[in-house]
Amino acid sequence: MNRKLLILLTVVLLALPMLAVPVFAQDDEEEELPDCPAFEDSSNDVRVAYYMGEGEGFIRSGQTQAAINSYTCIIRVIDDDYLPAYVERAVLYSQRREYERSIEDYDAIIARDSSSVPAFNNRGIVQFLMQEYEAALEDFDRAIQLESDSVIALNNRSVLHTMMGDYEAALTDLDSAADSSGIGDILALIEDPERDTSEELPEFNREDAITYALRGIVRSRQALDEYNDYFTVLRGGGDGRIQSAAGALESRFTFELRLDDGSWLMSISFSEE
Amino acid sequence: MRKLTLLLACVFILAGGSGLIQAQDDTGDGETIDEEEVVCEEATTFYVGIGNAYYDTGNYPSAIEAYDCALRLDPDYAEAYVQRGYAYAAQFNFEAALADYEQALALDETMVQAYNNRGLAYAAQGNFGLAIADFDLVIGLAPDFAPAYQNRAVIHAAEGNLDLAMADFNAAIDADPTYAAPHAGLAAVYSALAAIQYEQFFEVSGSEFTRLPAGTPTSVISDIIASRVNGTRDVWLRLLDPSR
Repeated sequence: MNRKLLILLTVVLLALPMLAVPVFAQDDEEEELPDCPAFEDSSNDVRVAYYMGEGEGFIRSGQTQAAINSYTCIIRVIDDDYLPAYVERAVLYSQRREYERSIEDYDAIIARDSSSVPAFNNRGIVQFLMQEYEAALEDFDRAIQLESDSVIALNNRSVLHTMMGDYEAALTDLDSAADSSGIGDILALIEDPERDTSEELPEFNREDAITYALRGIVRSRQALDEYNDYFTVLRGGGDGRIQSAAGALESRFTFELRLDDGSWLMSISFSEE
Repeated sequence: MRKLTLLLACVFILAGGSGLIQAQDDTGDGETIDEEEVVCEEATTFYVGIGNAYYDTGNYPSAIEAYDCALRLDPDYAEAYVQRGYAYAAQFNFEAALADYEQALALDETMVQAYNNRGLAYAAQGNFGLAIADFDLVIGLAPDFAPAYQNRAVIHAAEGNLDLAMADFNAAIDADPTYAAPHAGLAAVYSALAAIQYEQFFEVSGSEFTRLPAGTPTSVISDIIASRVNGTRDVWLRLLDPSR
C-alpha cells in the first residue's frame, strides 16, 4: 500500500499577551476548608470513592473549582495519604496555570511515594511550563529511571530535548518509546505488502502513534535548522526554490491565535496525502 | 521567531493533549469514564459522586447514567434509586421518578428522602392528597426533618388551606431555624391573605372602584419596604380613618 503519511503540525498557540501574565503569582492565603458532608457516617473508603467520583463529574462538567474542592475534601478532611486525589488536583491546578500549587501537590505525592512515575512525569511538564527546563529534564529522567519503558515520559523528554536543540537525544527517546509501545511493529504490519488485509490488526493503543508525529516535528525542526544555515551562509540571498520550501515548512509551524476567551488555545491538525 | 515557534510546538505537545499525555493516575483509583461506553468498575459511591456532580451542574441525563452504574454494581443501593429518581423528576419524567422511589422504599421502607421526593413527584402530578400523605409519613418518621413541613405547607397553601400552611411553615422554621425556604413560604401566605383582605375591602365597600386608603397593593408593599429602610411611617398613617 502506497501510503504516505504527512504529518502536518499546524497550530500551536500561546497567546502572547498571556505570556505577560504573572503566572507564578499565587495566593498565599490558606484556602478555606470545603464542606464535605457526603457520607459523613461512612468509612473513609466510601467517602474517598464518593469525592473522587464527584471530582470526576465536576471535571466533566467543566467545573474546575468544584472539582478541586472535591479532591481537597479527600486531602484535607478524609485521608491526606490518598495519592490519586493529589494527582487529580495537581493536574487541575496546572490546567489553571496555578503551577506552584500543582508542584506542591506533586511534591506531596513524591514525599509519600518516591517511585511515583506519574508524579515525576507530570511535575516535569509543569516545570517545563514554568520554563524550568533543567528541573523538567531531571523529572523526566527520574520517571524514565523508575520506568524505563514509560512511553509518555519518553515522548515528553523527547520534546524537551527538541526544545533544547538536542535532536539526536530526542530521536533516541522516540525510538525507545516506539520500542516500548510496540507501535513500530504495528506500522511494519500495516506497511507489509504481504499482509492479508482481511485480517484484523492486533489491538494497539492509538495514542502511541504520537511518537511518529513527534518524530516528524523533530525532523522538521532539523530541516528548518539546515535551511537556516543555508541562508546564514548566503547572508540573505539564495535560491528562490529553497526559500519557498523553507517558507512552506515554517508555515506548518504557524500558530493561529484565538484570544476571544482570553486563554490559550492549542490545536494540532494532521492530514494525509 | 523560530525559537518561539518551537517553544509553542513543545508547549502544545507537552500540555495541549494534556488529557492524553499527562498521566492522571496509574492506580486505577481515579479512572475516568468513557462517555460513549460507560464502564462501571469503581465503588458504587464513586458513581453517586459523579451523578451528584452532574446533577448539580444540570446535566441530568449524565447524572442518570452515573446512577445507573451505581445500581448496576449494587441493585440494592436504595440511595442511588432516590438520587436517580430525583434526576428523572428534574427532567419531568415523574413516572420513572416514582418507579425509582418505589424501588428505594421496597428496599428500605423507612427512607425519609424517598417519601419526601415521592411526595414532590405526586405534587408535580397534581396528586395533592398522595403528596400530603407522603409528607405526613416523613414527619412521622423524622419529626425534625424540616423540608417535609415546608413541602406539606406548600401543598396546604396550594389547596387554599392557609392556616394549615402557616402552621407548617412555622413548624419548618422551628425544626431548622437556619432553613430559609419557609420564610419565603410564609411571605407568600401573607400575600395570599392580603389578596383576600383586599377582595373583602372591595366587597364590603360595595364597589370595586373604591379608592384604597393607603394606595394599591403594589404601592403599599413598596412603601412598607421603604419604611423599613428609611424609618418613615406614612404608609401606615395613610390608613388612619377619621370620624365624620
